[in-house]
Amino acid sequence: MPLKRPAIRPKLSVTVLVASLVFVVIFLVSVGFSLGLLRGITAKTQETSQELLPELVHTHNNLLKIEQIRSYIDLIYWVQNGNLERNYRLESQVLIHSFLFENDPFLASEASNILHDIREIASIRQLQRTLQNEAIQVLSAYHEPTVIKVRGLLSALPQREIREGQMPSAFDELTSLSSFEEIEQRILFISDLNRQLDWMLIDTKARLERVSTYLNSDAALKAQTLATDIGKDIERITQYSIVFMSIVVLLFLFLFFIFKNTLLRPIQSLVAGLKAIEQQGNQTIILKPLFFKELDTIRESIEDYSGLVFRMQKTNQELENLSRIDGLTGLANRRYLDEALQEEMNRAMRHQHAIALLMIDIDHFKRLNDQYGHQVGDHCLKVIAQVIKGYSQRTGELAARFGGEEFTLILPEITHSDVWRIAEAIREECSQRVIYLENDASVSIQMTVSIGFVYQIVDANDAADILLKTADQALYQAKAAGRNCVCEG
Amino acid sequence: MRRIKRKILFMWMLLFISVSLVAAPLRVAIEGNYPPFSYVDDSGQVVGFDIDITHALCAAMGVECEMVLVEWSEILTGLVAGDYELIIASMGKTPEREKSADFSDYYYRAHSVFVGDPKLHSKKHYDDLKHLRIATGKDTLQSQYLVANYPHENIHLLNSHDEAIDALIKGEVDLVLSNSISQLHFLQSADGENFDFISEPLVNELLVDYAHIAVRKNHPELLLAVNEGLKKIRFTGQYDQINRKYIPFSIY
Repeated sequence: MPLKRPAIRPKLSVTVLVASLVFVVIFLVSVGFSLGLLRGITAKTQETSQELLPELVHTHNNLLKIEQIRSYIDLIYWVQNGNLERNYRLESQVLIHSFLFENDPFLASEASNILHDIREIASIRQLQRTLQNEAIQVLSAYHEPTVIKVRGLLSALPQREIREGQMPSAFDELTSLSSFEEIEQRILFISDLNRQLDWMLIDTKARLERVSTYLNSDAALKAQTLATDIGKDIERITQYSIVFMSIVVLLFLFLFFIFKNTLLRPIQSLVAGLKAIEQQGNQTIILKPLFFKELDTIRESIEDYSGLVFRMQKTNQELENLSRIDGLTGLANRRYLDEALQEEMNRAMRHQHAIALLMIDIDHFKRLNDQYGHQVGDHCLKVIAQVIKGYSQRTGELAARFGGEEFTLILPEITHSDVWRIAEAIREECSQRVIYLENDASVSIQMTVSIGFVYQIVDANDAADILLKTADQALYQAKAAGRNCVCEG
Repeated sequence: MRRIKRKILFMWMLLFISVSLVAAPLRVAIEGNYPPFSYVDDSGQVVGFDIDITHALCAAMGVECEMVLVEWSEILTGLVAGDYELIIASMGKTPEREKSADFSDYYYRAHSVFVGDPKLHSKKHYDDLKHLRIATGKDTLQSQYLVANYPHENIHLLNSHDEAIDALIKGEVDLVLSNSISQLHFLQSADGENFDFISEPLVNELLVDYAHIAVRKNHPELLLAVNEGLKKIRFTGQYDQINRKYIPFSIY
């Protein structure tokens, strides 16, 4: 658990509720934020198209107008009729005027120049018309057929075709006329004006060409800007979508991590702890503290349960001991002796080894009891029990209080001579123990014991009570032989 | 979201219009003294660009229209009084007029220019024209401009564009200031033969001449329908057809 032990443990239910609320809030906030951004981008895209598209359309319209102006200029140049020419000029003028309101200095100034050119073209044509009429007027004073023919020719000739050196040959006949100079001067003037008009037409068309190139590149630039802007917006939408999705994924991962560390793992450790109780030995299960209050309560319960199990096992042990042990001497009681003897006989039979059973009885114990009292008698029993216990140290050996002042010692896997030796050693040690009275240290008591034993290889027909009986008979013999001795049965 | 709202509004509007279609036709005020937008032809019929636009717009909106001929000076009063729902009479949008009416998107653009005798006043800058007698229609953008910039004693505010032109022909005034399209119409007529544009067109914020349709105040659904109708007739090409019929170039 990477989490530190908190002073106050939060409740899982409250935490889950709060976490869910926080998650929902974060989710809603990020959704709201993303939606806001998306809406902003959408609005901006819309704005871009609403701003730029009309501009594009407007530029396109201006291009159309420029084309129309071009055709008006041609019409004004080619048209013969003065009224028609005036109509075209007036229309083109209104059309060009509309450019003066454009918020574009270049366009406005070029429009103004074009308008000036058109007016100039129209006024030159007017002047040519006047000059032509004057020449015709001069010619009408003559009545020679050749002159009348030339006059007809001149009035039929469009102004733009009156050019020096390109006049019909009939005009050569006019040289003889008295007012030839007057006519020639006017025709030459018209011709000069025509050259001027040609230059002007080229100039004006070049100017129109420039304006139209300007508008075209302007439109292209705007279209490009529009495409770039929308492209950028789409890129931003993509970026925001990725960010938004990442936030959601990270949030889920974070929650999963938290869930795993604060819920899954603790629950697994709790289950493991619960299972470990069965195997617990001399100590109770201790688990690490957990973050959430509910889980920690479960942990505490498991620890408490482990403690309870531990205490119950101990009590069981004590109860079992109590049921086997003689309360006064601490040796095995009669019941346990019977069980253990049967067990040892079975074992001896399985392994084909010998078993010895000793019966030890304190000599003249009744007299001792009567003389010094039961308390001293009990003390004597304890002393003898202690001696006998000293000879039951190997596995399988058992010292027991058979009843009253009679003790039993089981010695398995032993040689016959060893039995004798041990029996003699017990008798000897018992006789050497001196007991002093508590209230009168001058009085000392010495005891002797009689021992009867049986030593045999056990076979299937042997029963525990027969063995006991045989040992008891041997004890009886020892008593009969004068006590403080050992007899074999 | 806004689109959905718009769609819902549009459906409400259709409902409104279909209800009003059953109830009464949409009444549209026209003016009749402003050629080529609105004038009386030889047979006594009121015709012109505005009239054709009205027909096309009503068809696009899917409503039946009834045209009412109203004097220019009375035209806004009648709208406020509820005599009709729309004014289609080449009306420019000014803050003053916006108090009495809502305005649609513009449906054509023009500029203002002087007309007079070119032999007398040719090639003059408009500042040189201040001593001349100038006529224009009253309650127009041009009249506002003249009052603001020219000596008042020389300004002649007449009832309509046609009256101003009459005054010019009779020699009662030296110049007429008006919308370039109307002026062109006059110059191309038989009466206009001897006249011409004088000086450069006037570039002034008072003369930003965008023509709008005036809609009765507080009828947003009608305003929306008019704007949608204008878009529709521009997309279907009807607008361009009408434009070409009266003016040889685009005035949108």
